[in-house]
Amino acid sequence: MRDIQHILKQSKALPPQSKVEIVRGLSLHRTKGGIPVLSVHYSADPERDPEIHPEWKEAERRAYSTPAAWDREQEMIDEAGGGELVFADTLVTHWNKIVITDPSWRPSPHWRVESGFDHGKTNPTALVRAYIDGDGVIYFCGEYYMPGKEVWEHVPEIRTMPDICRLRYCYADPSIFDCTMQQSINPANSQILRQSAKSINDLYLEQGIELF
Amino acid sequence: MHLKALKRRLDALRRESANPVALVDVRLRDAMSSPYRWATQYTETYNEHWKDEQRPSPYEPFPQRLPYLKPLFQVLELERILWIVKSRDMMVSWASVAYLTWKAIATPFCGSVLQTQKEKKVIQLVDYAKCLYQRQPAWLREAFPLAKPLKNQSELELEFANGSYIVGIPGGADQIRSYHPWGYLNDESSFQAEAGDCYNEALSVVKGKIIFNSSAGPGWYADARRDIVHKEEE
Repeated sequence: MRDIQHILKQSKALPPQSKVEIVRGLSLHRTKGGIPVLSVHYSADPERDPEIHPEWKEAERRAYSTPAAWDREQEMIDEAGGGELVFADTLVTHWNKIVITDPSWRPSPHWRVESGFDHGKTNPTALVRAYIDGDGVIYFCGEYYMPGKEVWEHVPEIRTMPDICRLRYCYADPSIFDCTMQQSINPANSQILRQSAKSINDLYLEQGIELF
Repeated sequence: MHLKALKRRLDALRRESANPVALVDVRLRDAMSSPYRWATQYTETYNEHWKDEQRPSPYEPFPQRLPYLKPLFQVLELERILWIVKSRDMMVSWASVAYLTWKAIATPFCGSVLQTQKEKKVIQLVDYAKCLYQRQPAWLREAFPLAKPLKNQSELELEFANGSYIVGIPGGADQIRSYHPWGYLNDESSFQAEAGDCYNEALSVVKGKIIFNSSAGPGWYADARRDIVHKEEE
């Protein structure tokens, strides 16, 4: 008990987020507010400790459906799963409750229309269109999802989406506003033809899309 | 002089050993002297996978072979607020429930509230407490009786004759407001949308222990543990 009291006291003197190992696999840190946070990693169990029994980890890892699931459940990585389909699990689990399968169903023309946008060059460019009814229920009704194209190729496709002119808000990754896209340099390099760096948003604006 | 003192001590020991109440008292004191001792020597957990894991019985005490269990129980005892993040299947939920059950048994009027996402899941946590009570030796159960027989207790409650209780509630910050318990366990906090609000509510209504326990996952619990502060407008 005295050892633990000493460790707890010691942890108060350390900067926030400094980890102190209590025993192998069991560590403690404190938040800025002084709240103690215990981390209990599987290596705290000698039968699962990779240094003693590496076979446990090998066998157990195979049982998990994705590397992200293993990282989250066993390695305690909170953000594991980034890059995976966000709503895949929700869709599969609650399909019957949340998916409207009636082909004749249409959103009310009086509902608010909003969208989310993410630009990618190698990764897909995506624009998802949603309708919000009077009770705040959100209906996802359309999506543009296309990898490997240029801005000027996306624009005509996005323009054909229904109700695109009725968008009240479009939420996008703020990095589309950073002027980081260096433009080509004219060989003459004359004042008139020089162009400064542009943002992704600028490129869409030039193509006549003012969504963001 | 020394001989006289020794004789007095021997007489006292003889008197004590002839008194069964005093003997029980010594055993009780030993059993309840620490949550770790109680959990590893005087009660048992159940394991639904005991056959797959080729265990001799579904009931087993907390394993003393796990070096992290003793410090875990010690930290639970020493800190008023404790946040825990853990790998799956490390018996941390069991240990947290065991700590609050030990406290309820050993200390009159020391109630605790257990909270997790769904009612079904919290019933399981209350079942942990019921199992830990039931798997004690008979003399411990007799010394710390229940308010009514186990079969007559609600599936969300375990009430003790000493005024202590363990109550299970489903997720939601509004669920905890009507209680004023000594202890509070929020289990699987990473998967409760209102975990942050639950924490704030707990601070105002819980007078003793506040334990948050979960495996990893994005959200308030992950951010709060790592001091990632979001502004209101975010």
